[in-house]
Amino acid sequence: MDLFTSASAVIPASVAVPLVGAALMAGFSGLLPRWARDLIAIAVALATVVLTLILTAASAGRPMIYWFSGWRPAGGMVIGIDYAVGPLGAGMASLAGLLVCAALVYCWRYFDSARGRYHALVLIFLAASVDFCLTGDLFNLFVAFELVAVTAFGLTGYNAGHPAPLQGAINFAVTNSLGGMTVLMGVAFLYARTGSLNLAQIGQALAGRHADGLVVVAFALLAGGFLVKAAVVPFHFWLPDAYGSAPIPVCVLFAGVLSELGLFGLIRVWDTVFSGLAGGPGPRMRVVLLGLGILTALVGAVMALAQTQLKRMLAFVTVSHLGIYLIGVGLLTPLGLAGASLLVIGDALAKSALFLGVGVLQHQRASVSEPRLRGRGRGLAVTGVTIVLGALVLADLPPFVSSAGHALLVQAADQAGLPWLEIVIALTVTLSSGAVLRAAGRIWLGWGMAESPAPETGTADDAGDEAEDRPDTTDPAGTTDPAGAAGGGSTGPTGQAGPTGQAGPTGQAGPGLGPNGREPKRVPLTMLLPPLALLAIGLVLGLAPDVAAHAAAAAAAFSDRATYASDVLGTRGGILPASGTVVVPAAPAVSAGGLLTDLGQVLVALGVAGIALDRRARRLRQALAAGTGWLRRMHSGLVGDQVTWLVAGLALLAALGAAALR
Amino acid sequence: MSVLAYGVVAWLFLIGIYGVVTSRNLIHLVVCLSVAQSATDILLLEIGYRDGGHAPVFVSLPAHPGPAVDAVMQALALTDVVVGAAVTALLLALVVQVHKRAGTLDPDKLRSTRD
Repeated sequence: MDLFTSASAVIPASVAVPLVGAALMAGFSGLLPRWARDLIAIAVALATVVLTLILTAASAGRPMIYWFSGWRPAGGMVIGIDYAVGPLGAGMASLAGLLVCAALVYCWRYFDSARGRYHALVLIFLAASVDFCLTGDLFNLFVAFELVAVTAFGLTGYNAGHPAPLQGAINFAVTNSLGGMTVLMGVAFLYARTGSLNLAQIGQALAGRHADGLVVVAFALLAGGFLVKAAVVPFHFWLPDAYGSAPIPVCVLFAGVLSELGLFGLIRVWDTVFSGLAGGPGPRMRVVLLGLGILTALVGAVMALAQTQLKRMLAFVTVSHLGIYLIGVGLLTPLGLAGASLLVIGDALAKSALFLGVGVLQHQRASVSEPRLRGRGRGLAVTGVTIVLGALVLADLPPFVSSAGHALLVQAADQAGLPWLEIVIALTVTLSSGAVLRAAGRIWLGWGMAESPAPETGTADDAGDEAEDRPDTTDPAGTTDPAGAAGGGSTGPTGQAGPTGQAGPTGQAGPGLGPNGREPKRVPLTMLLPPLALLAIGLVLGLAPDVAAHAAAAAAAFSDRATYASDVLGTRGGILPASGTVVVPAAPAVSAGGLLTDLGQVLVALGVAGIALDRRARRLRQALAAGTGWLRRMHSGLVGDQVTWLVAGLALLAALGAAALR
Repeated sequence: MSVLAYGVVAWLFLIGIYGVVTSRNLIHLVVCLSVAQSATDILLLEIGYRDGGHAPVFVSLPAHPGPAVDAVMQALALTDVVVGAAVTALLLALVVQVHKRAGTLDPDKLRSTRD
């Protein structure tokens, strides 16, 4: 009880602390030296992690409802704005805080000239993410959604010295602003139908009613907006442009939490508002969400394998994994949601470690292009281990926490009578993990073809790989001359006719030497340790006892609409009456079969990487490349195309939503 | 009145998106985005509107003030205007940077992120 009462003061603090920190950073950073700015920002982020972890622990068992300014519901009518804190949301918030910490530690040496604005933006991003995860109010959800998005646009184009990040930021901003508008329209329609903005009250108003046209449109608009953020096919086109060009520390935040928040918003709104509609829309909606999830997982995996620019490859890996999470979430069962949540945590840690490892490559070797880095990884052994380990964790290497998530997900699919989903998941996981392992094999072992960008893999011209965010880095190899940096960019936007084949000469410069043949600086510890620390956290979580049972209990509480509604609407004194004990489902036993499956996935991922690097399999690769060329051509990077797909996707959602809800 | 307002909402949203899709100039594109955005504001105001309702100011009212329009929707619209202004400002700043770095404003000529 003591823990609980003191924890209700923690709820507003978990958003206020990063916001105040951001305001201090924006206002007084000029007065502070660089180390003080970094330290204060990291301390603020750590404090947020601690606060949200307290909330995760305190809200296990029963949700915590906090009414701002004490405006509690009167007679079941909501008049105020509430935070409805459950372990799932609070856990998501602490994941965001953890990744923000990693990004801040990392950028200590990555950005030479990070002024307070960067720290302020990152902290606002954190505050908005926490707000998004905790809120129980639909309009508040929209505001947090937009705040996360706007800070993310700013961070994508932060200090850009090259058009690519700027274009990525514009594509990101335009598509996600349209997504925000559709969310707001959905909010307005739900308010028009129910007269409330509180998720619990809207859910009560719609419970047992048949969905009319207005509700269907509201669902399509809300789901469409959230799926834009979650980068689900066909709304995903902005993601590789943004993640593939943003500065590395920003990629860490994005790959770990940004898009996952979209899925969180979708399932939150579904569970609290739409799941109570008459006629049991769950099974039909499951078909829709599973279809979208499978499509996203496959498209992401195939595209990841086709990339040679490492950041863009990781961006497509992210898309593929988002598809897998949508499969888990889309099962619309607590067990599926629990599996997806653990996967989100495990993969976020691994993907962040991978991005940070790629950042070391960019910092030390001035390139993120797989062919140009061939054989140049020697001397960066720790980073090599990080990247290989991260890739294996993506393939659910036990005993990391993603392995536990995978086991839950498979169990949920079995319970839903869809055991074949396991094959889809295994296929996409091994393909995307194999892509990363292929890159590691080429860079650290020098395997694979020697020729520069091979026609069967990836982009023929990836101008800008080299130059992007160079002005911010400590530039260990001295200032690479701009023409050389843009080398290979025969159609570079600036019109420079740089010489192609830069990879040749630099590749021979010796593994320990920079592009100009100078001895590079040692890799700073602040860049080597964060990825390893993230992987270690994933390992510790995976070894923690009963992590799967806790996740299952949290997901069960999250999915229970009726209990949620009575908790929110019946609160007295800011503290809940005991809503009974939450039944903790029996811990899904770690079966030998599950472990074997995971190990099998790891082996197959290694096999995929081997085939991708084997000279003898060239025919196969060419055939695959020819077969997927149309898919790659669809990713044109043109904002007009992306918005067209967005509108088409919205229309599709409206049609599918009408079929599922009515 | 009501049908007209919803018609305006649909028209503004669609014409704004059409402009975004077909735009050949990034500044034009950003303005088209704000046109689409304004559709959401009108939608919010229309949902909160009541025929004959007075402004939602509840001080020094006459004895029988009659119905008021919904203040919640007006607050939402206000918030949305702020969000829209922030997004527009940020996008325009990005566009200025694009023009500095790439020397063009035509999205079709900016192909640095294509696959």
